[in-house]
Amino acid sequence: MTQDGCTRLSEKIPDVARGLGRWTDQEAAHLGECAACQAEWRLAQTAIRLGRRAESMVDPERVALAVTRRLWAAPRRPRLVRRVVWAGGILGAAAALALALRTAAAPGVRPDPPATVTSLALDLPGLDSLDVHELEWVLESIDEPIAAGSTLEAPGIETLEDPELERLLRAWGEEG
Amino acid sequence: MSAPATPPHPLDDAALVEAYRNGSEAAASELVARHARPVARFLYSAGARESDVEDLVQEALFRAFRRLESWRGEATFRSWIFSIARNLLRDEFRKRKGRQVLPLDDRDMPSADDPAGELDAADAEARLRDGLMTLPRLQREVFVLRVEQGSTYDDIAEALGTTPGAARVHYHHAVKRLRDLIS
Repeated sequence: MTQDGCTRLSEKIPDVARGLGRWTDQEAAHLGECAACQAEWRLAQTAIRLGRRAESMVDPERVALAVTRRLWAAPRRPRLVRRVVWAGGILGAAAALALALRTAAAPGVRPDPPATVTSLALDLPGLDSLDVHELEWVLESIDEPIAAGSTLEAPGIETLEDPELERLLRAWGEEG
Repeated sequence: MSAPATPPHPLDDAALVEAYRNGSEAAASELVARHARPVARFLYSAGARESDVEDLVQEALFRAFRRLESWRGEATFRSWIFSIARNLLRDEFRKRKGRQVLPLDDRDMPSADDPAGELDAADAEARLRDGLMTLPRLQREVFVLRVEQGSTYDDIAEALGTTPGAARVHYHHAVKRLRDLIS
């Protein structure tokens, strides 16, 4: 056998070493003569022994019990709930975006009016999994607060304490 | 006289996954029992500590079930679990980094039946395990999946996020570097 013979043997060694194949007479003869293939054969046998040693480190029944207990203790959320959570996250991002746009457009806060935003490219991979109706619902929810006006009124701002409001205003002033 | 009962054909992984999705705890148990040992082999040979192996196997399988929706059936279920296990092991290596590790195991204890042979075998295994850790991660994982698991290059590529051709090249590089260690 030639170099091709070594290559063919090399491809077959894992299966034969695991007892899932047999050498042909020609392959067996090559193995008997080729030191490199013999070394590879020993390597495969050693690797398989190493793997078998690892099998004794795990008790499949015990693992199965532990995994199923954990799974049943933490039940799966239905797909719809996960989608609503995703949509909630998207809405949160949209609200933050709306606040940022309003802040940028607020009179007296920035000396130069910002350029008109005609389009925004947001990388929101979660949108990919939504169907058309869910996408429409998300878009409607995003459009409403942006279209509502351009005052400093922002969701949640009324809940801030005076010192927090002052810090916020100072921060805007520094930006401007 | 009735015909002898034929043993029930075992369900394949995809069928068990479907049964689990429909609420079958037995299907989950069967999947875990089926894959726990191969995952243990992979983790230990790829560098997990003996004391961590069972916990890592459990975590890999738990995560697999929790993320079942991301398994779309293009890869085999086992390849998919291996991809989770390798990420888990990578995190484990990161945690371990900086800690001094004193390897303690009983590999060097010869058995009563064939003390010299056992010692040689244990020595070769220890050298192989050390040698595996000197390989680049992808080479190491390709070698372990190909030799110990008998995975095809297609399955290896799915599990490790590479191509079958690249997996083949990594395998032959790994063999070349490791066989001198064992000889």
